[in-house]
Amino acid sequence: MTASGAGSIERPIIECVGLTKIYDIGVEKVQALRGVTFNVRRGEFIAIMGASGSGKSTLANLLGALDKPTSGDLTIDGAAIARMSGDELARLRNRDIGFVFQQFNLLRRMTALENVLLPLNYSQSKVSDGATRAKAKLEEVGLGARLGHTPAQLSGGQQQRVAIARALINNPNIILADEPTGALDTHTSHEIMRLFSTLHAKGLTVIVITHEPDIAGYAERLLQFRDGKLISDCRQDIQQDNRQDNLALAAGGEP
Amino acid sequence: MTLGACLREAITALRLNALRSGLTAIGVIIGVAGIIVLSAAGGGANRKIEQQINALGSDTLIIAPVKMENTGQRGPVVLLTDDDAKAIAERVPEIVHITREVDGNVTIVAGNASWTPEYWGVDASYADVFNVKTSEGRFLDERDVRSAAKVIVLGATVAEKLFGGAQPVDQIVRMGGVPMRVIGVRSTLGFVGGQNQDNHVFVPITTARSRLPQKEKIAPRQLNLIDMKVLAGADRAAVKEAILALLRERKHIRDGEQDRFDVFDPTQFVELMNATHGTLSLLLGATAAISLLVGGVGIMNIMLVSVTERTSEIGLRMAVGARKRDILAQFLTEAVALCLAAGIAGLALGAAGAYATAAAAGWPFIVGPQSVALALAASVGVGVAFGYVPARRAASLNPIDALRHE
Ligand SMILES: Nc1ncnc2c1ncn2[C@@H]1O[C@H](COP(=O)(O)OP(=O)(O)OP(=O)(O)O)[C@@H](O)[C@H]1O
Ligand SMILES: [Mg+2]
Repeated sequence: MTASGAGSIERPIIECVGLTKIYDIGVEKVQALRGVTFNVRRGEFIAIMGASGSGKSTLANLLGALDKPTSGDLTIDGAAIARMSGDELARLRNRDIGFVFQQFNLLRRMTALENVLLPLNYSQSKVSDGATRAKAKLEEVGLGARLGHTPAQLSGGQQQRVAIARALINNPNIILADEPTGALDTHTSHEIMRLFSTLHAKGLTVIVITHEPDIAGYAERLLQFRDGKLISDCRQDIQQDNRQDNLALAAGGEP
Repeated sequence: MTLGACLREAITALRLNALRSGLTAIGVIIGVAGIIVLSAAGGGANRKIEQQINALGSDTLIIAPVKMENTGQRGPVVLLTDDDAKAIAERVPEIVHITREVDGNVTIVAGNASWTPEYWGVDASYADVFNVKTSEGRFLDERDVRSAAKVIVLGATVAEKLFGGAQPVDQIVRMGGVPMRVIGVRSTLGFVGGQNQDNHVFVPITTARSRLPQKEKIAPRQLNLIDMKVLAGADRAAVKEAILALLRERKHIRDGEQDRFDVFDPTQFVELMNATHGTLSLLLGATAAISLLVGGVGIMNIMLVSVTERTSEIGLRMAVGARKRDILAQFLTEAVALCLAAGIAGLALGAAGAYATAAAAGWPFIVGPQSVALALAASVGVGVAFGYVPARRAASLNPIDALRHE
């Protein structure tokens, strides 16, 4: 299955139609999203940019099934979010979507390995090879030698790699990252983005929110937001050198 | 989330705040310890009361003369006699066994050993009145009494003092110079009401009258006591009154005049102790219950704090797929694990307390499986009851609000 070839026939993995989100904070209502419509095809690598407060995180939370829109329809993998029960949403978050946060959100008392294993606690099907799988994921993100370290013993970049391994543990279709490089220096940011490119090359749908054009440059499609509205949606060429690196990496990494 | 995973998480979380967890648990520890001490004391005291009633004989009544100097009244000396015993046996149908008794103290010598216990000169029916059992040999029989035989039955303590480990039966002891043959040793009764019930000897009443010195000078047919067994199930108060009425009639005591005899029930004081014990149990029980309640509120409080502290952790868990019930289970397990640990600590503390109480009160140390089960069930119950509200609060958080919580 290749994403580009099947694109025209296959149903989009994410469909947003007229999404709005209003935060009611008592004294006033904040309209964070004002009718957002777009589709994401399976295997796409998308960057979302926009000024602070333009509604990027609000959108990411909706796409990650962490929150529900005020109105509009959101369909993920063919299932309408609005009609899903709490348990079904939990299952979606557990199995189909890997969420990566700006602040990594690792549990500080647990080791890297335990953090990666965390989602398996909530898997509704029994997982017997959890530890092996978690180790493989940590190796995949380049942290095979740091299994027993706690977050306090890891650098920011390493912590974010652990968080990515955690997002990958249940082999999700979608990786959703809200400013994953926001707390990292430039060099580390590029390392993390190359990791996302590798995942994309393996067939995952990757959505990265960022403020930096450099970071957005890794994606093949760029969505720009302003005041809760999608103002531009364009394909862009990935930097040639990045793409070749990633394809080579992916080829080596595929079983 | 599996129970194993929940437990692991709970233990990790509790150990992270070991001091706080420990302090919070104190209420439950004390409550559970209270339950253990209480039920052990209840069991021990009941066992002891049972032993005592058995030792004293159930359904027994004893007639003793009223000590006139104690009442401050004066009157002619009125004696309890053989004829009174006979009259009671004939005229009070509820009396199934009756024995006369004269008492005294005589030094008994066996070889080099000597000992001065109280002797009780009785009829053979004494065995029926007080359910006497012997560990060696036999008790007195009617022939011994009729023939004023020079035979003696030893209490266990007396046998020990005079013979050590040696076999006393058929040995000859000298009782104030009178040679007496040991025919039996009474089975040990232990202490009842703080008195050693094994420090007596029994001789035929006839032998006591003819050969042994009495405690105080008594008339030839005079008795110190009459012991009786009442028909099981009979109205003892009525029997008592019937006996007193008979004696008043026999001694020509007018209505309104002071009774010269007292009829008492040797198990009375045991019942009195029982009542005191009941009050104590109630107090201790209330204390344990209050302690558990206060402990439970403490647990609830600390769990609420813990939920607030870990709100963003809860958000993250939900973001990676935790359902409401997983979060509920996690916090409920934590509360229950804390209470159960407290329960086990309370069990140990309670067992130590029960042991000390038993040693001090002289009753058997009993911590039965039921009281262990009760204590553990109580602590789990407290954990569930007081952990539910905080766990419910954690589970009802909205993932995104929880994640954003600082
Ligand atoms: N929980 C909330 N309650 C009330 N208002 C909110 C909440 N979350 C976001 N908003 C408001 O919604 C708007 C969009 O916020 P959002 O976090 O989506 O912006 P963003 O594009 O992610 O910004 P940034 O680049 O700074 O992260 C903002 O005006 C913000 O103040
Ligand atoms: Mg944001």
